Amino acid sequence: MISAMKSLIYSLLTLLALSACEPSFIVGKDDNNTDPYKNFDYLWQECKDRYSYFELKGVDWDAIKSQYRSKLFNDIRADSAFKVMGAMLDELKDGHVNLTSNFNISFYPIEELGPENIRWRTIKDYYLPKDFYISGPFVHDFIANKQIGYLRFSSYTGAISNSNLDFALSRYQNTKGIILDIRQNGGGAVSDVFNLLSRFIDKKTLLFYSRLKEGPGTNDFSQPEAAWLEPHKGVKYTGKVVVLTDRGTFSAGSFTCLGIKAIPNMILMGDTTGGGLGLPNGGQLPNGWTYRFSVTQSLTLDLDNSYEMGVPPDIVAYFDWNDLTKDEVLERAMDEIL
Amino acid sequence: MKKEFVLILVVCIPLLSLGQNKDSLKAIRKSRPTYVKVGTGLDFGAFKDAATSPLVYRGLNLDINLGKIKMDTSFESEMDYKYLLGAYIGHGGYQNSASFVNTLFVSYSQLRQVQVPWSNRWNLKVGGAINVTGNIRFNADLGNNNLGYELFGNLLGSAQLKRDLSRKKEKVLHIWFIKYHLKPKSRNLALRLNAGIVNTNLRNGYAYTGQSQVINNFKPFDGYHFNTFTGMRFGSKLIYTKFLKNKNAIRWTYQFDAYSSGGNVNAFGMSHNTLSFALLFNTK
Repeated sequence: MISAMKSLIYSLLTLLALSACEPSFIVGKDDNNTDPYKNFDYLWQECKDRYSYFELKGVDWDAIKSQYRSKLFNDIRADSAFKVMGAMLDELKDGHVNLTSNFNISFYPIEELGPENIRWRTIKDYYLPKDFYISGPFVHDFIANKQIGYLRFSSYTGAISNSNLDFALSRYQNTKGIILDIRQNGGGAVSDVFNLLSRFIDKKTLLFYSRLKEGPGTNDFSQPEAAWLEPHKGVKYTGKVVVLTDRGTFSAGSFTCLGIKAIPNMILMGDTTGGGLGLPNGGQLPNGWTYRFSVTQSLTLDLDNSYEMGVPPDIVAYFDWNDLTKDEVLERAMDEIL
Repeated sequence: MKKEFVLILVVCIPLLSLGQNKDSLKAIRKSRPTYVKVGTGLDFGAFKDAATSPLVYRGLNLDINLGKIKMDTSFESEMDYKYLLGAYIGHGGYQNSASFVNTLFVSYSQLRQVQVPWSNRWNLKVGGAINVTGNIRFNADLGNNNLGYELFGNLLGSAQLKRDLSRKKEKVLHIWFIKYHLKPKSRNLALRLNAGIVNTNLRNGYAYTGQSQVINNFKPFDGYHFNTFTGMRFGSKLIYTKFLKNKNAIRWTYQFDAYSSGGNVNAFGMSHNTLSFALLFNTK
């Protein structure tokens, strides 16, 4: 009996010892690895399975793999392997695609698709008073003999507060129009888009649709979901609003412009935006570097996804860099309002 | 599915007090010693969220646990709340990443005695447990996927073997010319094993990120799926309890717990090894 008991105890202790570890069949295998081919293949496959704009971009991802994988070799330096993988990602021509390491970040220079369409110093020197207002993320004041309110919004910091907008929009309530300048606004918090646009509508408005990648196939998407916007209950501005854009208007900036297309009293002016209408999702490679790329598609009201390449303006206007005393885009917007 | 149903019945039947007189049950229940448990400890954890990284993150946690225990020879129940707070590191070949994780476990277990023929110092109980575990993880390196959270709900089969290590009578030890008086003590050592029978989880969908924020309709579990009969969970506990003269007790526990979401895409797995110390305050 005693020996049976001992056996039982030993068995249980063995079981306990076996369980008292990190069972890879439950937690999963640690795939930590610096092999350039393994990391390349992992990144390529993640993009293949989850990236949302292959069809629109017309990218042959299998051909891209052959093209860039052949540039790797076993003893390649980390810096060089990074450059190869970063160049592969740049083939997607998407500002929401990056590879990030401790020593470098790959990026696709979306703003270089067109000329820089703003010179801030020109606006400060020739249009705004010296003591212009700064309300949170908005730099603003009257222009054109107090007939127009000018609001410069350079980044979606997620910090738009009701008090900022209440103050600015109350101030320009009796103007003939407002110019909202989001040129070179690289984006940020998408919540700001809705906070901002809710001030310029007077009824519930359908802005756009979005759909999410739901499987590894190129066209495995969820049903399009509608982005509705309710008007703000406080101070609003429902007069004419001209929104200035350029190629540097990206991500949340492009979302704003996509929404503006559905708002009748708002006009887009300047250059096509930089796109960035896919929500980027992040991940990590076996060597520890991280990446991100788009996993959603934004669609217009007629379910077109092509604004990912940039939201076109209603009125095209360019800054003339030969005359730095004048902002032609701003002048054109003033003409449109007056 | 049929197999799982039978297993659920096997676990649940001990939870029901079948075949016992209601009055005698009530009396036993009333007289059953009850303890409030307050404990703390250290935990070594590991996890892998294949949706965002191929790396296993490992880290140390602070463990805080509270509970209510009812136990006697024939029955044992425990309502347990356990909170872990810790930092985990994923070692990539070139660079590391940190993930800060909060984990909350809520579990309830009931065990009933099964007679063993070999000795009255051994006590075998079987029964079941329900465990709900939630993680909130933050890893700044993962961009829009920096916040990960998931819920696991498991119905477990449970068995516990307890050995009474009490010294019933005073013992005198003679070491050379020194006489030691070893006073009577009440203590026991228990080994409990748990295995998941019904495993469920609430996990991210294919894309991991939801799109609710983009469509101005933020939902915290946007794109999540409730998955049933998938994944696994098992664990073990080695529990040493020493009863004091004032009817309170102190308890040392080594606990192992591991669970996974199952599935080939976006699989998640986590394990914990916890060493904890608790005070058991007798309330009845």
